[in-house]
Amino acid sequence: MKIIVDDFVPANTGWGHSMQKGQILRIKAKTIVDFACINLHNLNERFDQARTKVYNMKIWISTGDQLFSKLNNPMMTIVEDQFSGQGYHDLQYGTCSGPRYARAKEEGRLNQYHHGDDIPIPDHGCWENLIDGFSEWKIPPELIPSPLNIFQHVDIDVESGQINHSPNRPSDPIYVDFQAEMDLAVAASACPDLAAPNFGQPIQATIYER
Amino acid sequence: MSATTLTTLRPHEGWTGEVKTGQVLRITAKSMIDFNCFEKDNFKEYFDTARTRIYNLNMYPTVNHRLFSKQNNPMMKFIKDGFSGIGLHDLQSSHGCPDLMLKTLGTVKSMTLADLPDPMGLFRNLKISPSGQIKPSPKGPLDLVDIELKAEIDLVCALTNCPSAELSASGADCIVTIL
Repeated sequence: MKIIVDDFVPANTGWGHSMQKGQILRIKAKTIVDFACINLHNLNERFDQARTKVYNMKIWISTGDQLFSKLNNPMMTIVEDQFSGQGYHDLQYGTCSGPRYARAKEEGRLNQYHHGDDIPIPDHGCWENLIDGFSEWKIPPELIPSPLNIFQHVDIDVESGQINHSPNRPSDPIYVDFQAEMDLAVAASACPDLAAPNFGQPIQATIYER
Repeated sequence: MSATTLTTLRPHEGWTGEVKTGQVLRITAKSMIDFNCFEKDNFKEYFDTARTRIYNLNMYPTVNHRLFSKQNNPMMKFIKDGFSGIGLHDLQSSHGCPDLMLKTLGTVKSMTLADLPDPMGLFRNLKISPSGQIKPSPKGPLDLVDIELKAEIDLVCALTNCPSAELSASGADCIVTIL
């Protein structure tokens, strides 16, 4: 394994890097990581939740599944998923953010998303962290893609459609490996994860070649 | 309450127009309709499927749900759903007819596929299994039914009448009315 970059990402901060086709990104964590990618040579080609779900014909993706762009091209392939069998990664949520936390608190709905109405809320979240992670490429805030929410296990009733938060997270840091199918700008947010048993934790982001 | 029929769309036709705060957009159809909306004077503020799912904490939009924007603000409220009990509207998929939506929106805003927000897929009726697999269902409404969306801000709305053999029971006219 040839390590290209190996970065510690503190809780509730963003991280970004470029990577080449064939390289592998390893995201290691025990709480939610919001993740998105953009074509390095065409910043208008961004990760897309809907294309990813429809291409794979499933709402939860794991090893062997591919992340797709809005322009319908494969961007990354999940080559190893240590969360498989423990929980699902999420493709329903957008990013958390300062305004989103503020609205939920104002409407008295924090308990519907997290574990209590009286918990302190951060002034920023994954929206702001992903803007920061992609800052080198100056992606406008409104064009930050809705992410793949790694390790965000969500309970979904497929009959009623109801979505419920869950504290199901890895007990210890585990990883997911993504192989780049094109040259990419990638960004990750160490989510404040107010639904996790001990809130958001730091993550490790590693890019390597086999 | 006055009702003004704006247009009747044949299959593979689209409509776009302004809907002011408090006005109700009625869509009467029996085949798949892709729907998008934007803040009237700020197209950076657009309907967002993820924000809408999570504000309502539900995958299937229906009565009393609110349509939310990318920047997390309310845009419309779902006030009538004639499809309820028959099938499910969709917030998982991309456009069935993206070129038609781009052409339709092009009369007010030039846009490329890369910038086209994902739609609400009215009457799409995708089935999701407990394991998370997505399966198209050909079951749509047998007769024309109404859905009504009330604008919470001044909007530009757009919709395409997008039947396909795979996803819709049949092509049919779609009536667009403002209340």
